[in-house]
Parts: sequence; C-alpha cells; structure tokens
Amino acid sequence: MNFTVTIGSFLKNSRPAILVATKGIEKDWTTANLIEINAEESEVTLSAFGGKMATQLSLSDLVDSNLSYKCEEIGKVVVNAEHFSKAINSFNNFSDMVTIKSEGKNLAISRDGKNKGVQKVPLQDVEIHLPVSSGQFCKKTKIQRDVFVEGIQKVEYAIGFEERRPEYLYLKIEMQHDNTRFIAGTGGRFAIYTVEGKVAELEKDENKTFFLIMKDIIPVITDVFSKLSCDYVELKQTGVSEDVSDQIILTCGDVEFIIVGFDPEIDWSKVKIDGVLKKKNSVSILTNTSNWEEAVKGINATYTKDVQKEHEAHNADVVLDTKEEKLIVRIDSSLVSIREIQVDKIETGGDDQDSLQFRCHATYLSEIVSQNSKNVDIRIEFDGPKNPVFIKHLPSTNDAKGTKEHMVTFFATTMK
Amino acid sequence: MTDKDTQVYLVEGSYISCQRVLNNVRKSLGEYDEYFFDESVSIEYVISEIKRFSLEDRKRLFVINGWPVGKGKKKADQKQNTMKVMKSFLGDLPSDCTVVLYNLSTSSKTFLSLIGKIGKVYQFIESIPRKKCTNYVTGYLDNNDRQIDPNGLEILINNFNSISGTDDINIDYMAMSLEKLLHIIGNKKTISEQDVRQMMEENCNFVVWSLFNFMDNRNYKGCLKLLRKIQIKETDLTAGLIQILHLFHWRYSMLFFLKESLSTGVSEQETIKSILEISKLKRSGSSFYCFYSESSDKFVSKYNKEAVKIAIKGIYGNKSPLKYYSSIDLFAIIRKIVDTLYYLRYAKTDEIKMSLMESFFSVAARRFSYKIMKNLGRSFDKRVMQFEPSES
Repeated sequence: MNFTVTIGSFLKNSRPAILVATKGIEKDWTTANLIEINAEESEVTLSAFGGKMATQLSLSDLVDSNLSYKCEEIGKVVVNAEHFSKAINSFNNFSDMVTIKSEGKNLAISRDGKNKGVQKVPLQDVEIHLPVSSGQFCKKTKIQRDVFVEGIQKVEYAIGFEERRPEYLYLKIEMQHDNTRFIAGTGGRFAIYTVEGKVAELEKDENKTFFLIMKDIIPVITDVFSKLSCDYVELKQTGVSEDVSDQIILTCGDVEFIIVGFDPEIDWSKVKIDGVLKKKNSVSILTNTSNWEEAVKGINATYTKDVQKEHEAHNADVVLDTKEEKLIVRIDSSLVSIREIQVDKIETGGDDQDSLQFRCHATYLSEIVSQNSKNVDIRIEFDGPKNPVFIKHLPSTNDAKGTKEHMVTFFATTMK
Repeated sequence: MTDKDTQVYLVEGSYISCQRVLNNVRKSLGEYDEYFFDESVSIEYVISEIKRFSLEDRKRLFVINGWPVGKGKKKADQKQNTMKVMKSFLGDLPSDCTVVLYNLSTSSKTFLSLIGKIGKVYQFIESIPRKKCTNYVTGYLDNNDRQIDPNGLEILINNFNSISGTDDINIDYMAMSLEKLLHIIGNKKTISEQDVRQMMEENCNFVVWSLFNFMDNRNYKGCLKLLRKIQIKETDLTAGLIQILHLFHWRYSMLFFLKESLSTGVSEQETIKSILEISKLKRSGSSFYCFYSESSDKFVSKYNKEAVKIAIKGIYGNKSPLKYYSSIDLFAIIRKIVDTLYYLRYAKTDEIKMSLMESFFSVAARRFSYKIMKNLGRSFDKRVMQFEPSES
C-alpha cells in the first residue's frame, strides 16, 4: 500500500473513524483501538469498529478537493488508531503532503522536501469486520443536524450512572411532527429539552417515534456531527430479527455510524415523564442564574473530598422567605453553608410554611449554574417538601427557524 | 407469605426459596420501582436513596443483597456501623418503601430479632441429607405435574453431588438439576430412567458411579461410552484416568476383602468390623520419595461404614455388588488396575491411554474368561511396552 494525501485534509476527514476506534469502545473487543486503511485507485477507505459503534469512510478528492489523494499502490493495512492519529498529527504544517506506505511490518508516514520526516507505526495482524448494515428498518426519521447536536448536548449531563438501572444509561429522543424532545435522567433527576416546530421528518404514516442513544457513544456522535455541515441527521433502527443484530444507523452527509451492542429491550415505558410534567405547583419563583453563582460556590465548598469519600448524603434545605423575597439555602453537614438568593417574583398558593420549603441533593442546585448559561432567567416551581422541584427556562423563540425551545429540569426531594 | 403492611423482609438461605419470597413481595407491590444495593455502596447512599421521594408516586422496592459500607476503618467496624444505622432506620421507613434484606448472612441475634419485630424473617435451609431427598424431589416434580420412575429417582438421588465432606445435598443445586431435567423431558408426564441418565451423564460424579454399575452388569459398551465422556471432559487425561483407577482400586480391594471374609464363614458384622479397622495411611512426599505413616491425631478408616454396608447389602433394592463377581474376577480386576496404572504413567499419546483403559474395561466388565483375559492382557501389555519404552 502506498498513497499520498494532504495532512490537514486527511486528518480532518479521518477523525470520525479515529474516534469510533478509540472512544466509547468495548474494551475487550478484538478490533477496539484499531483502524483499517484500504487504499484503492481513486479513494482510501477507513474502517473502524470499537465494539459498540462502527463506521466506514471513503475519502477521495470528490469528498474533499483539498485531499489531493494519489494512490501509487493499492493495499490494505490495520494499525492502532491512536498511534496512527498521533503520528500524522506530529506533522505541523497541515498543508504539506505525506506519503503513507506499508514497509515490512510497519506503516511509514513520511514527508519529502525540505523538512523531511518519517513516523512509523507497527501493522496489526488483525482484520476488521464491520457489522452487516441492515436494509430493513422498523423506525426511520430525519432531524435537523444542529437541533440533534444541541438537544443531546443540553441534556447529556443528566444521564444516569448506575449500572443497576440500565435504562438511565440511555438518552431518549422523542420526535413528533411538530415537537421534538431530548430526555436524560437518573431516576431521581431528569433534564428535558423540547423544541417546538418542524425540525424532524417522520415517516408518512407515523405520528410519533423515539430513539434511545447509548451514553458511551454520545461524545463521539456530538463531536463528529457538530463539525459537519449537512442539514439533517438520518436515524434508522432495525427491529428484532434473527439474522441481523439490532442496530441504529446514524447518517449525516458522508458519515455513517452503525451503532450495535445496545440492549434492544431497554424499557423506558415505565418512566412517566409527562405525568410529572403535568403536576401543578403551588410555588413559582422567578430568578436569574447569575443570582445563584455565589451561593453555588458556597454549596460546592461544603462538598469536599472527605465528604465524597465518606459517601455522606450531601443535602441542602431550601426555604422560601416570602416577606424578604429570597430563597435561603442551607447545608448543615460537617461543613456549613447558609446562603440567600434574591428572587425577582414569587407566586404562591398560600402561606402554609410547610409548602414553602424542601430538601434536595445539593448537586441539583449546583447544576443551576454549572449546566446553564450565565444570566438566564429561570423559574423554580415546587409544591411542598414531598413533590418534585422544577427548574424551567423561559421559552425562547428562534424566529429564523420558526421554533420555540424549552428546557426543564426536575428532581425528587428528600425527606428530612 | 407476604403482607401488605410489612415493609421489611429478611430472607436468607437457599437461593430458590429466597427468590420465591422476593417474587411474592414484588407481586404484592403492584406497580413499583426497584433498586438494588450491595457492598459496593455506602449505607449513607442507601439511606439517601430511600429517603428520596418518588417522582411518580409509585411504590419503591429496595433490595439490599450485600452489606453496604458503614463508617469505620476496619471491615468489622464498618459492618457494625451499617447494622447500627439499619436498626435505627428500618423501623421508620417512608410509607412507599419496602426493603428486602437479601441473603446478608447475618448471625447477629439482636439484628434478626429486631427485624422480626418490625418485619418478617425467612431463614431457609440450604441443604438436606441425601436420605431425605426423595420427598423433596417427588414434591418438586409433583408441583410441576410430573412423575418419576422409581429407578430414575434412585439414580438421580444417588448421583447428586454432595457438599464436600458430608452426604448433604445443596437444595439449590438439586432444584437446578430438576429444572434441567424438566427441560430435557419437555411435555412428558413421567420421567424415565433413560431421561435421568441423559441428564446425569454430564455429571462427573455420575460417570464414575455409572461405571461401577456398568462394570457390575458386564456392560462393556456402556463402559466405553462413558470412557469417551471422560476423554472429552478431562483437560489432563492421565491425571483424570489415574484418579478414576485409584477409586476403582479402593472399591475392588474392598469387595475382594469382603468376598474373601464372607466366603470363609465370618459373619457380616465381624467382617464390617474387621474392614473398618484397616486404617487410612497419611501420605507425605511425592513421586519416588513418597512415605506413608499412621495418622497420629485420630484413627481414620480406609473404608467408610456406609460404603461397606452398601457393598454387602446393595442399595435401593439392587443386588449386592459382591453377587456380581467371583473372587477370581475381583483378583483379576485388581491386578489389571495395578498394571494399567503402571503403563498409564508411561503412555505418551491419548490413543494409547484410551487403549489401556479399554483393555482394563474388557477385564472389569468380564467380557472373556479369566484365562483369555490374562493372555490378551499379556500380549497387549507386551505390545505397549514395545512401542512405549520407559522414559526414565
């Protein structure tokens, strides 16, 4: 195998395959961390399969005219993706041409001319077999790429972590003709980002569909798709069949990811998000995230490594002072924090003191600052100490797109 | 078994029985969320999860199947702390919570009595003596609307692997074996001896005990069939075969002793007494430097009383093994065991090892008269020696 390409263009276009090979992989998978380079007359194909996700990219001058691909000798090799990526990245001038050539047991990446240089990575004696892409799908839909990426990024932080509750290790995308929702949660706290407007194109006879995306592969998807320029991401999912394992196929322009290794029987039907969202709350407070910045610093100051090490419950008591129009947040563990947060507007259903307070995990309050933009108005709603607390962003309208976006986080309270 | 007002359950012992209680608790809750905790989390975390209100007004089931880590530097202190925290907390659970303490293996009487006061304690036995297995097996099969042939029942019970050092059978193992049997027979209502054999042939213990039966009944074909199974299963064929031959040596030496003693008019009781006086020697060293001595601590007989009684009387209505063999048969078999052991250690290939064993089984299953066996054996041994020079 022997071909020449422009460094910068090759690096940019090969990135999805490198990421698939190295991130969110199944550690013991035989082809994890490996990439196959197949040089042919008019194009070079890169294949990677990390156990959970696979991709095959064909790079040629048709895909990127800056690539300047020239094949001297066709051939196929497999190398460690990280070693290969680092070897190419070591050439600073991205407009230079490099020759990628198999030499004995190594793959040599060399630059001729004034600044001669060569990097070698060992060849691997393995073949990469990609999962067979299914032609039959039980679900198929298209969604605007920027909405897809933004939606995932907005709620990604809320995805669960407990292996005992596997359903929460997935992010759910619900799509209707004029409404798309991104949902992630732990069972105790959920984040929901809703886009009202026609951003998804469902199949003709469908009114509603959903996809569950595995936590592990989300960083790869958002990283790759955020850098592409095509308008839509196509999502397709195979049904349960004996011949083909279940797959979700994400396509965006020339990049196609085949996602496998997820549990097709993961059940989100038990999670009744709508029922919780419909709950009526007796208290509604309008506040701004900037008012919380200092208070959150105080909250975080009490969550020391020692507290984390001892696995102590890090709870915060929140009380609304209707007269002074402020929220009082109190953490009373081995370290104490008492903070007052100014609120702009209070609506309450009565003066029952019990309904004006709650206790919750302090991290949920920290997220008001860490997971939101600065200086954003939010509405905090709750209904006494036993019911969930809602943090709602005021809806924002995107006139150019004709969409309206909402962000809601809600979490369970804790008994004293 | 469950009660709607009960919020705390402690279940211990047999897995099958514990699962039955847990499933009943699940059923009694209707719609619920389930949480699992074990020793990988802290007790503080467990409590914070229990204290958290449900988002969807559903009941919550917390299954704790390992001691969550409590405060303290030493493990014992941590467990003490966890127990202390649990004691104070479990009596005052939120109304939507049910806690199942699942197989925590606790020996603390105060803890058990506290749980008994605030909830329900189920402590199931994990094993039963082999003699009492009949009722368990027939009861289990009755519950599944199945019957079992008496011969099949006998083979089944006689071949369950016992817990090391006892003749007790683990209930979970027994239940799993019966489940396996039910899968094998499908819709059949009566389990035959053949069904049991089909299942038990996977059991190494069964291979040896079945070999005894086949040798007793002169079933050479059966012996060879099981020999193939040993060949497939054993990763170290020589070691496996040597181990089996030693067991055969033990058995046929016992039968030879009993046969000789009883044929000279010694009473059964006296014979049993005499054989049990033969001590099991303590072995030290290895290979050429192997030494034997009497065990200094306590007298240990080479044979156990139960095995001797079975050899004389038979078991489950079967004839005594002594009735199958003449003295000369037993003598020939013992000699053949000794010879086979000798040649087996020098056999290079698995084919030769298997041929040696086939030769042994032709003697043990008494395919030919003693004279023919002797001649055949001699000529075979010579050929083996010719192709297999000593490596020493």
